[in-house]
Amino acid sequence: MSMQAAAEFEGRVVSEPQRVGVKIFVEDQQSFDRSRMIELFHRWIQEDRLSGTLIDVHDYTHVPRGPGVLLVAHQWHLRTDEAGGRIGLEYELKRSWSGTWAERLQAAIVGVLEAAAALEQDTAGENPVRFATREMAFRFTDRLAVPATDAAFDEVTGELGEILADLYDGVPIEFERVGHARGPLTLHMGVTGEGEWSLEELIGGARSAAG
Amino acid sequence: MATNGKGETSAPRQWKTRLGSLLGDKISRGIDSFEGHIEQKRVGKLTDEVFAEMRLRRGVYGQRYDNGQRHDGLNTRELVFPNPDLTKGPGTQWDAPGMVRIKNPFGAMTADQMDVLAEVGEEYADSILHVTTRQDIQLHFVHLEETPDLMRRLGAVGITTHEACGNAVRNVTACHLSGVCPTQTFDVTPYAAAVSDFLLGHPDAQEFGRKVKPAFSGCADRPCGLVKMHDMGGIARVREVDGKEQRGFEFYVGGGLGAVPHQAKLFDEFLPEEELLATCQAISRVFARLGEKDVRSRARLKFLVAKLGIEEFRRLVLEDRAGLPEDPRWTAYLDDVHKGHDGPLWQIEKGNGFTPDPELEKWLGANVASQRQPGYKVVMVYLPLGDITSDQMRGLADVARRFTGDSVRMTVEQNMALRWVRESDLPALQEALADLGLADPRAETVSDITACPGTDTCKLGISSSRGLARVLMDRFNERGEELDEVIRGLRIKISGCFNSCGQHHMADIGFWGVSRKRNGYNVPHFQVVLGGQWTENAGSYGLAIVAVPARNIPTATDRIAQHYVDERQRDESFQAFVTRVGKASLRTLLEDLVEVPAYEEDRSFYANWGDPREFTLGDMGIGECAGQVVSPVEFGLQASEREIFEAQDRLDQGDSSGASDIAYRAMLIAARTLAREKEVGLSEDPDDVVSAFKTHLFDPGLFNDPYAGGKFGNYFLRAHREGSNGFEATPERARKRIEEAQLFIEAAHSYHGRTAERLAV
Repeated sequence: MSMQAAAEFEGRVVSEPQRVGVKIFVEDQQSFDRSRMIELFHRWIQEDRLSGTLIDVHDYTHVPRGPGVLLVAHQWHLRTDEAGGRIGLEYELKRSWSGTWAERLQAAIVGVLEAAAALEQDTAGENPVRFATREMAFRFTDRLAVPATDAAFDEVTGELGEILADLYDGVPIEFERVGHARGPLTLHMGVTGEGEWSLEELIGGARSAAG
Repeated sequence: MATNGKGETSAPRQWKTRLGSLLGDKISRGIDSFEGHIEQKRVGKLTDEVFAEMRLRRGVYGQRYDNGQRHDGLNTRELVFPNPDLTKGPGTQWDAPGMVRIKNPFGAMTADQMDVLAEVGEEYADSILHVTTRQDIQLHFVHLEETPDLMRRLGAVGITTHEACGNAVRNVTACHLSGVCPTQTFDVTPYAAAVSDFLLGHPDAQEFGRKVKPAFSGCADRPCGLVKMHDMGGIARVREVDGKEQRGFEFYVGGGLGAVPHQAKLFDEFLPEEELLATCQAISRVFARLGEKDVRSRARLKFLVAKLGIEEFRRLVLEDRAGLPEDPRWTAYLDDVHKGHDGPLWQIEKGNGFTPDPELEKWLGANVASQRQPGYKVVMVYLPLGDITSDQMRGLADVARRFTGDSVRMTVEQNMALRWVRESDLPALQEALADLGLADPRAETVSDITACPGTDTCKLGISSSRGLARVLMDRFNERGEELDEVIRGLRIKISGCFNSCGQHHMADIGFWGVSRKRNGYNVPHFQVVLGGQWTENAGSYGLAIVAVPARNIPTATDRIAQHYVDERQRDESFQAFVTRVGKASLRTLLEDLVEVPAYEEDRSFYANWGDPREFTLGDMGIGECAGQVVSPVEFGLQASEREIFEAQDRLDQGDSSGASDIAYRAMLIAARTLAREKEVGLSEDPDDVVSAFKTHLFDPGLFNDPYAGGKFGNYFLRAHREGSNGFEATPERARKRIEEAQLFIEAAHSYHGRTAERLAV
């Protein structure tokens, strides 16, 4: 097994992760048209639709369970992610973020929600894309800062729980550790209590948590 | 001090301290030194040129748009990076993401290495690992400051990026079946490993003008090693001496693709194994001493071999070899060469068989081959366009551990081969691969297209090689079982420009990207190259027959393939078919596809495949200069291309002299076409044309290619000089002149495109 993801970090706290990925899932997996995203992401660059230094669009639709269509910015990557066999939009902070890691988590959550809202808006006509708002997935590829251990899981979910309480009005949520044993710490969050939230409401909650 | 979410502090964690003990002093020092150079560059203590060479030697490349500009389809936009005044090379922004190339000698990987590759791929890049045609792995969108840690993590599991780029000995490639191949003479793996270890960082291999690419193959007729397109390489041979079998190599030097491909020359019919490293060292020394240093476009070993002639080159190498002080490393590894690089995890037991279902049958037929060792199989894992995700790589590491005894190799066709698979394990293995999305039964078929990165990430890309490849793959896949078996066996390879990274010269059907000015716009095209030979270690190269708009390439491909199905003679190979029917008839087949409809009629012709942006370098708009008439320059350049085609036809007919003359005439027509714009009334006298071309275009540098400089203009000037000095037209020289004429005409198109854009602006 990989010596670099091994349990030598067991018991250590999470420390200054630069990279945080947040994924929100597409509701209708069958009708999602990946090829449409290429043109749309190129247009987002033209229109400066998302904040950051938007660089280019990369087509990985030929890769099974891959990153789909990737929008590369200097600070983050956005992809129509198909990992785990479920299509979603993943926003991953890659670098250049100051502040505490709680603030980075909030920034990543706001990032994915804003991108999802833009996507819903831009596909509102024909074959609209809608996102499931009662679940998300989180991925921490920064192994030095976030070891893939139970201790790190506990610490991360504690932090996330506080932030997500602002988004979901304190309604109970549940975390589950998912993914490969040697993969980066990856977890799935699902809302277990009652309630429905729009993307705009979640964005508002995330921003207020950030504030 | 770092702070966690609870406000607790701790010392910053560093890979350097975490992995220090696993790296070893030498590797650690090298990476520390590179990290120091990054800091020196940041504070302005190194020049762009010096630092660029340093980072290239460490495998850290630039990537498209790293000059801080990108055309978004409407306008050229500035990419605003945090440190706009910092650069990491000439015209290269510090903060722009780049590419890292990772060396994997002979494409071998252990499961532990695959795990770490997966980790660095998702952490520093975009979660994609790209397998190259030289058995490397490339990561894209990597930031410079993160490369030292990336290198440390790789170094901890025995992988290096050192000399993966730059003017050095590159990855040593070898047949992925070596050691298990039924037709091999012997396993070349330990020899490839020895050459790789010996030359890495060797003082005699540091002063090259350009890179050196070595390759090894276990047998002569298979395509896996591609020795004849490499700077140096060996094909396994044995002979009997005093009743004992002696190992050695049929050794070649001076091959290469690039803008003008060269077939390697036979250096030695039998280079004994104990002479291999010493000879590689001597070749490196001669190349370092006599190879071109100033003119980059003439600096590859192939040009030195061509300039000196193989006899003189061989004499110089042997002379140098004779004077080398004995090095125990030359032969130290030979004691272990018979041990084998890898072996089975499981021994064969009784009942090593199974009854396949139809789905498994399909996969077995396409992706599984028998090893020379009875009962064991090699399983090919098809990676579309050489791409695999970090998740898949991690899963494949599990598969390797479970089934193979840790034996995985990347192939020059950008796939992965799992070796030493027990036959009885095949159903379970197929299932495990299917769970990862890696059981597609298309390995080494027409759908398994090779493509360079092209406009996706490469700074030199003209047309979208990967965009086209995706379209062609989809079309073949849609036809599924209906696809004729004869078509299924063809090979397609695509390069985004003339530099041949997609190896288009060696495919049945190859394409390389060019641009053409049509109706006042730049239009992406591909030159269609037919008849290259993939087998026999890349035995011969194909020639371009016509440039077709990118949008029409799928139709062109279908027509060529169907023509082969309809007209081929019994068991006739595609290469033999192309030779028999002739390029003229194949060109006729595509004639109507050369036309480009007006912009208003079909805008899709004016964009690359998979990229909705209009294919221009600036926002040209439609002015009077972009009217629907064909300009005299376009007419002239098209006329020169027709001459090229005539030259190829003559060469096919065995008329080398006629072919050379016509190729020269093609350049003359193109040069006159451009020079006439500057000098109205220019005569057709070749001396006058050359004089005007030099005065108005070449000497002021206007004709210079942005990357290759005056290289292409020099082809024309040299051909003119040779014409008046008794040029002896051998078939090889004629072929070379045709290739050069083609590049000259491409440069003429490029110049015309640049001029038109300036006028439009």
